[in-house]
Amino acid sequence: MDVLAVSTDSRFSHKVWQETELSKMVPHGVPFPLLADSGGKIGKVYGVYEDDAGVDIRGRFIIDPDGVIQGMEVLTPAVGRNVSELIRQVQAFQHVRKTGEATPSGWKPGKPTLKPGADLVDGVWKVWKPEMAF
Amino acid sequence: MIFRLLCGSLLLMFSGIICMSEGQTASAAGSSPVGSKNVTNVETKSKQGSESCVEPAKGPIAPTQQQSSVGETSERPLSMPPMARVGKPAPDFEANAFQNGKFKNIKLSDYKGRWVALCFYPGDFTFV
Repeated sequence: MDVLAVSTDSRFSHKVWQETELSKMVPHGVPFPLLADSGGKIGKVYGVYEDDAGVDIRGRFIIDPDGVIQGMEVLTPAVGRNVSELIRQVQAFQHVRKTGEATPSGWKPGKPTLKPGADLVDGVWKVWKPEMAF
Repeated sequence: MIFRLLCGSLLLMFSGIICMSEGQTASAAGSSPVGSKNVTNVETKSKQGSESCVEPAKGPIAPTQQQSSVGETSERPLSMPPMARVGKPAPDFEANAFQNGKFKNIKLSDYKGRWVALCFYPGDFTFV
């Protein structure tokens, strides 16, 4: 999976941030590209540009190999993302794409999946219990 | 916050100026004096074989099969309405980027065939 990070800062600001702060958090800094969305043009198209502050808020989009958006999560700036959840979701979408099965709430690799079909109508309770979501 | 906005607009000014005309190259931010209001910080000597000049990126790229009204070119429109929907193709775009010590332009369509996590965030040097 590739990561692309975008903010309205310029590429020069990204360079300095990588060199002065990110490289102290992660050895050699972050390996993924930092993109410059000057003016928030890309953020506007993705619905995450906040006019008043002139920045892109914390939106995150999972895009599959065909270029289709499979999931998105948008938060206001004060709360950070949950990376484990992002990874879990990408694994789930990858599983669905490969097998055509559906992943129930809280699914992680190794947990039971659901095989959509006529048998499952009114029959989910037989194969899945809410406790399995945690 | 205000300081950051001021810095942001200064940086935007510099990034818009570099690479405006063909044949002229600019060095990367290293040698530009910060705070200088003059535009004359463009060097005319170029390093042999170095990619110090990065073209301004296109921003959002409109899908080519869009119907345009008579007489309108299909070049990128000045503003596009929010288009990103879950379950629909992700809007393509091109942006200036910094990665592995280098500046380059990146298009979302470069990543076709791979899973992508596209993460927006409010700003460098901020807290969360």
